[in-house]
Amino acid sequence: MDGVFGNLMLGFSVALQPSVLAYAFAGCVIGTLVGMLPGLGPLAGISLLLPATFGLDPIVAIVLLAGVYYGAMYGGSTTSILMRIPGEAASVMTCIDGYAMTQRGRAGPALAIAAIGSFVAGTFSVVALMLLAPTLATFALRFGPPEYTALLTMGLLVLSYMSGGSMLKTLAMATVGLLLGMIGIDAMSGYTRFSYGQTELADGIGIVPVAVGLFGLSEILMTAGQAATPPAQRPTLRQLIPSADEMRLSIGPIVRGSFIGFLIGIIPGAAHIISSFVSYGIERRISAHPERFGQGAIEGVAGPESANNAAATGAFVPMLALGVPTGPITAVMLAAIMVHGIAPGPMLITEQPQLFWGFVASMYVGNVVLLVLNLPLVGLFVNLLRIPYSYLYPAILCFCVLGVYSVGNSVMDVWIMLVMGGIGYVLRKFQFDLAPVALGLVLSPMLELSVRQSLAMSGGSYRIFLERPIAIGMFGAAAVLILLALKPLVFKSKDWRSDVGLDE
Amino acid sequence: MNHAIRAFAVFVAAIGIAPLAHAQNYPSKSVRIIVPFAAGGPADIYARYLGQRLQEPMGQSFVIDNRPGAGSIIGTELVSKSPADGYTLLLMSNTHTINESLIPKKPFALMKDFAPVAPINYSDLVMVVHPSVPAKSVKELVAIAKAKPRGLNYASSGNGTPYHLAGELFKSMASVEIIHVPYKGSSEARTGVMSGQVELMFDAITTMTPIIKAGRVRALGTTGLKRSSVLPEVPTVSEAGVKDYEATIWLGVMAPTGTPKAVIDRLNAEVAKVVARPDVKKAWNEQGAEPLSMNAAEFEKYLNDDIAKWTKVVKASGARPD
Repeated sequence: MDGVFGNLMLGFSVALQPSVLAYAFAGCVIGTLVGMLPGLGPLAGISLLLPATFGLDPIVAIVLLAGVYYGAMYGGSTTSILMRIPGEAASVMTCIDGYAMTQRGRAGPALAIAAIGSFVAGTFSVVALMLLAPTLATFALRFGPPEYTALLTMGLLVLSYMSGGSMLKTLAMATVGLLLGMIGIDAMSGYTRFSYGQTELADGIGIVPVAVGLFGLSEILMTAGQAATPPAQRPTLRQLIPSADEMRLSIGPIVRGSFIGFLIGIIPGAAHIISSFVSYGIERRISAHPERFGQGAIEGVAGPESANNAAATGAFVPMLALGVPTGPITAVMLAAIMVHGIAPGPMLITEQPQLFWGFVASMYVGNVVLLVLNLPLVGLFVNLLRIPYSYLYPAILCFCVLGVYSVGNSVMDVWIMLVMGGIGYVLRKFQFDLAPVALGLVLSPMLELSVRQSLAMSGGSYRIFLERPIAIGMFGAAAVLILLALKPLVFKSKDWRSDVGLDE
Repeated sequence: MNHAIRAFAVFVAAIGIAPLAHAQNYPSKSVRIIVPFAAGGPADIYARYLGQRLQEPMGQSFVIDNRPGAGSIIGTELVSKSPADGYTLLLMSNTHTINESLIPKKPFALMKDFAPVAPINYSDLVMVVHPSVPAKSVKELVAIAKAKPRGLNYASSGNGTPYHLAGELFKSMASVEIIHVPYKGSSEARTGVMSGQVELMFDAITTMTPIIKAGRVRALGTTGLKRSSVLPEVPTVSEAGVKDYEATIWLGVMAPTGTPKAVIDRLNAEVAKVVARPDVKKAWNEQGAEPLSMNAAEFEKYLNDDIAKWTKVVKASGARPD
């Protein structure tokens, strides 16, 4: 413990140098802006900035990029809450209850709780990272394709708790999402599927244009379709601060979100998006009033926002402890230190203590910077709602097109977003929930690849899923979830769906 | 009417002269190098390194434009449709020569739509196994694989990547049956081998070196014909038992077909000068890369030979999707 404290002091002596501090601040600001711009997520932000870091000191480079990363996780919630546009893929779930709160005039508390939740989750994860990184990294390595399959299966089951509408419609939407996820080159054989000769579709349909289209554009179309223009809001100061009730309701989701997010974050793969879905599903499942979800439940903001920030930090565990990036974002960050001749590996912590502990300390600093930056800005952001819709919405539309285009310089992505906007509008008119589409699209390529990797490893035998303790545990949990979902059918006891007249 | 005809004649003449005039003052504006791979990857980093150092002697900036996607096809197609004036160049690698046989249905044909300009460098790969595999050498590994066909798995960063084909080449040259397990990117694949989910893989030498030194994986051989300067104690696969085995990752520059020869020769000479600089060689050696220098005609032969080599491997492996 003494060692940790001494090391942390070393870290802070690096992180509090004025130049490092300035770059951490710059990174957080850039990240917040990147997160707010619809479509432009942390990966695109970091990739665009990477060449600019080649001339910097390695510690400064990684602090700057990490700032952009978690800054984007913070910023992503802003447009989700205010305009129902997911700034990046992990804030899809925040759109649902966050925007519902905005419509009820509670945008301020939603933003504040998102910032506070992110801060708590970020700080919790840094502490966990600092104390447990080597141990956890070893655990993360035990996650092979079979374990990943089990995790994703559990993720699919979360679907059943995600939607407020009829179960039939939820499953139909999930199927649409899963099918969309099949488009593109099949990773095992190299065949291109459902691309109809369009080279741009070979890499599949990205979650970002789909989410921005389904959630953001459809909302703009819905508003345009109303008979009377809704009046612009005039938030007062009192409406900016979370009420005692809202604070109380948020504590549990923040704690659970931090925990779940961190654990999912350390698993190799693009897991941070799933963490927000899982958190939302759990909060809804254990809530005494699940019918409030979708209507502006603060828990639906607090949980997923905490989870995605904790996952962002969790992703650093294998990267720092073993030198293996868990996904594309950490891979780009490793590239930033590798150009300086530092080869990240299992010895990084002992060979580069300044880098490791300076980085850890800079994450504490970054979380404080983001809280200080974001809480006062809540007032400013909420005042964006004063802009009349006739000016606000065309501007948002421009930003959506720009943001989605800039991710991959691809016009195809813009078309996907526009088409999804139209589809989203029609589906919402028929009262379909859209979140299952997003979840299905995220899960299906990962689930397919991990099932097939597992089978390749075992030579085609399905026993591989039953020979691994972690996988068995998770499949067992999944089975329990299924049984819980079936219980009302068997015992005819009432679940909340029947209370609100949705029993089908 | 007369005016119109005369104007037209001048216009036609101007078009005729234009390429020549271009070649003489080339470059008169900034040059775009399209990198059809993601920012931050090795190809991107070397492209930026080269671009920066071409700027001074050529007096114009070289702008790197990342257009990743569809295994390099998206960015490459973009260059094939760009004007052949030397202001849009393609950074390419053996992903392109592999794709010629692996993906026959593409919107371009490499040797028809592009003119070779210059090679840049090559990097060896390293063949590693998880420590739980009893093999201490390539020969022992081949013996294990022969004793139990399809008993071992190898990871790669994806179907059709040079890492995958390095494995297929090994399988066909050593006559062994090993199962390919593709991952979604090299970092995921590396994690798979470090944790022992998959027994072996061919990976970039620089990223693997610290993991080898920490004892998390065991290096059996490097994939060049000469030993690598990064891991000089590790034998090459060729000297360790699979004679003449060679699977490196190399980078080069191509331009759209029809680019004036004078422009190509100028670019070739300038790239060769950069590649020959001692500071460049030193920096690249640290990253595990060896400078590569040829004139445009030699590079063309090199490309054709490489395409032929991978066509054989792709056919033998059945990896070809169509």
